Amino acid sequence: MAHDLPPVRFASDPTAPSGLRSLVEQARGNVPDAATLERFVARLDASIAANVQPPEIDLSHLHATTAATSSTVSILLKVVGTMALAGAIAGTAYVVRSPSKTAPVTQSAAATSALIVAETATPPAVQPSALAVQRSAADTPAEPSVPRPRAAVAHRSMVSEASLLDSARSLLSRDPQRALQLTREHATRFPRGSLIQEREVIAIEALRRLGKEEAARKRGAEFGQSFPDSAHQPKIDQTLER
Amino acid sequence: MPEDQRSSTRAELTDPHSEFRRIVDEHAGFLWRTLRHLGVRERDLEDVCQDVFLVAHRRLDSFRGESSIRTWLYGIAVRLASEHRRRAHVRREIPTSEQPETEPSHHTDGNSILNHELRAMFNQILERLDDDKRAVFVLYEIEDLDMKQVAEAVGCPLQTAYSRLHAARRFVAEAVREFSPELAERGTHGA
Repeated sequence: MAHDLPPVRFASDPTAPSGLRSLVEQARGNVPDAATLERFVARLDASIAANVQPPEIDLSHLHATTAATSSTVSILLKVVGTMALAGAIAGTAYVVRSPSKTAPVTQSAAATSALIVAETATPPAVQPSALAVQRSAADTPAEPSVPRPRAAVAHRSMVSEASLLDSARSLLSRDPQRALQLTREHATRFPRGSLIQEREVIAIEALRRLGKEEAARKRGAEFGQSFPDSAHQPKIDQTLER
Repeated sequence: MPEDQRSSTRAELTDPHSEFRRIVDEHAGFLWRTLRHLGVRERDLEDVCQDVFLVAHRRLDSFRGESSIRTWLYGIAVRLASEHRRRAHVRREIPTSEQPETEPSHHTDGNSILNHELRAMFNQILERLDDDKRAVFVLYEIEDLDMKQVAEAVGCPLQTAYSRLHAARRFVAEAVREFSPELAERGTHGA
């Protein structure tokens, strides 16, 4: 059976029943709100800092192609290192509070381990560097377990950025003009935002879908000059080569 | 480490504009949504989503950067969701589709009863797909991955992914007609 071309997605297929399109669109909008994500990130910081062990799963199916970029790996390495240490700095106090849901039937390894960490005086094996920071934090006067106001505001701003770009991205296939407008709005609202690269990826894709090839290529070239080591470059190249 | 260097490192790591914050913010919401559509129960979503990132942390050595981070994270999510559903099945617990969503505040577009009902119906339809077809359908139709990425994330040949997608699309379209013929024909946006 030949499957050379992927089918048009339901959400952007004018021949699909409109009710079906609505269901998929509803599903696409079914994301957690900013406050939930903020709590999630804080808990994740603390869990990694406490060296909470994840479940053992087989990932052998996730072999990948050779399109790897070292910058992508370095970004992920930075993520992991940052999460471990940032969480350590935040301390384990948050871990004590985090599993606040009412009596779940099951707790993941993360939640279970977090509780164990909270209830025992001796933390599990923590990476030396994280432990050093953790002890250092413990020696200082007690700090509130909530993020500092400035950081909290900045993080909320980032989540807002992400939400705006998520909306733009979700519109790419069915309304690229509106998606492009949202990227302009992002540029206005967040001129020094943290997701500028993501915005440009969406904008280039939108221009491409609108048939504005030259504008898309020009913007892609500017992206390459501004972010020469970006992990998004392969995606942009792929978009422009279509 | 000298004190000034330590302070610098700490400042960098706690900076909400760091790469860490950017990537977690970029992917966490999408993974949360994916896990929900892959059948993870509402009350377990946060825990399983945490596990996705904890696994990524633990398995960093196995990530050779040959696929995108996004595809890699989705692959972890697919596997963890499958494990979650398998464990729930062994415990003979209530499947997702039979549970009310008790945390409507997690939705960004309000508490509309209509939207809530649409989501419940959609989840019930997805619940009737087997795990393999469900994952392909969700990653392609909702998460906008291209088919190569879908195949990588679920760990199957591209042609197999296509077959699963076509089968899932036929099933979902038919199920919508079965659940609500009226909805299948005229939609919900005033059309």
